[in-house]
Amino acid sequence: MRNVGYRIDGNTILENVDLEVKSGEFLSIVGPSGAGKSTLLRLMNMEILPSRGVVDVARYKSHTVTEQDIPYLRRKVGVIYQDFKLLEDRDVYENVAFALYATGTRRKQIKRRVFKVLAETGISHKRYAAISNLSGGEKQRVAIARAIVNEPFVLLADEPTGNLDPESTRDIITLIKRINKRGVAVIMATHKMELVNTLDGKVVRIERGRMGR
Amino acid sequence: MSLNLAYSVKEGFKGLKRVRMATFVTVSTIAITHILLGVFLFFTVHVHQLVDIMKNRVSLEVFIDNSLSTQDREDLGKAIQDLPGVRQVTYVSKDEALKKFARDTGIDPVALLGDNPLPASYQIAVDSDRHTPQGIEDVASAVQGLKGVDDVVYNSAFYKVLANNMNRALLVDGFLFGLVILSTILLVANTLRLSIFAQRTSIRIMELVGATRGFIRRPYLVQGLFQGFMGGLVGSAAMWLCGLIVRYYFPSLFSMSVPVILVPVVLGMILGYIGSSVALRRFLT
Repeated sequence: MRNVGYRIDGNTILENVDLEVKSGEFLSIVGPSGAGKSTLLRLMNMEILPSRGVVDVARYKSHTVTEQDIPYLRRKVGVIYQDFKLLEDRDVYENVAFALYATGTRRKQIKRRVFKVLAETGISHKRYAAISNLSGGEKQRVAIARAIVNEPFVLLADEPTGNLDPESTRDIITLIKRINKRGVAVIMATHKMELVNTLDGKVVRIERGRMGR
Repeated sequence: MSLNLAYSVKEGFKGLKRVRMATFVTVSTIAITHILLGVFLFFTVHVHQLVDIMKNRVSLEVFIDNSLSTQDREDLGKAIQDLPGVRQVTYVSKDEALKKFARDTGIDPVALLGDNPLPASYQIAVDSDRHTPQGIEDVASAVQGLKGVDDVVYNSAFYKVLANNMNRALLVDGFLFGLVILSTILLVANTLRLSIFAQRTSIRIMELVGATRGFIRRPYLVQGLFQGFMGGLVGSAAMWLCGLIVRYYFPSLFSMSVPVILVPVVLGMILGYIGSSVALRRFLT
């Protein structure tokens, strides 16, 4: 991100943000609620485009990216959210498989890859369970499985433990660390400083839309 | 079939099960609007048929001079037939006129007067493009000018009333039919919009995990097509059943053919597809 600013309805949400994340890095973005952490992640996923500056995610640049490019970018950027954003009317397998069907992956490969990723995230035993029957921790595991099934180069985590109890929080953080160890860059936004203290990697602070270290 | 298309069709049908209530409401709405449309179509066809029947009854009665020979009478018939605006000429002899009079009135003039006082005549049917008061008057004037014509009789006041009211009836019918079609389109479009609105969160999530617009749209379009098909089918079945009942009590009324019965099915599918497509455009960012 180079000199990125984001304004909406006359309000400045982010200002002069410069940020670089390399392959395999772990970056924690810490700040209070409303500081602009989620906006920063949404810019990286190109859910929104900056009002100023350039966001460059792999070969996709915010000022030249087209509407048609964005789905292809998102297949390379895994995202997990505090509220999980799972398809509630489908089971665990279908939620993860959807990300592969969307890329046109062959059915045989889909089954193999979904089973593999569910095993990696420790949710294999609930592969055909309805989302509504899962605990918060289990839902986040499904969300992580979906986020990494397309083998992204970066995982964006927006308050991934915000809705979880301490034990589930520990498990999810361990899982995210393991994914990072495999070479996937992780950018995690959180307001919990105590959580960041347990992590290795770079930490940046964000407050009122401005970044500090 | 490509994997993506097969997946879209399968997902479309699965989606119908996932939102059972919305599917039921959409299919019912499409069926009800199609029944209304069908009833109005039935009514409209009958209004047009009635107008045609009334117009075809527009005729002139030409009384012939009693002194004409058979040859002169036949020549007069040919001369009338050759006039512009005359569609058909039918000869009614004195005897036929007497029989008709006796049948219509129950009175036998011969018993009263000792003789048949009714003249022979030609019944003239007028071309459909002359079915205006002025057109009929022009034909009547032309016939009146022929040799051997005693009198030309027609009800000009009745034709004036008929012409004015028929046009008015067709205009009102056309307006109401347009209104029914518009209501059908708006109602179906709105129901489909609500059905897709109920699934907007899923649509948003699909976008976030990298699905293209086309990939997201296809299952919903399959749903729209199927809902339209089912609604149209139910509407058609109801119309067909109504048609049977109407024909049982009023056998002279027209019956709807299979292609006409299937119009709602095709219309339903078109409305379902377009309605879903327009609704999706709103929810895909």
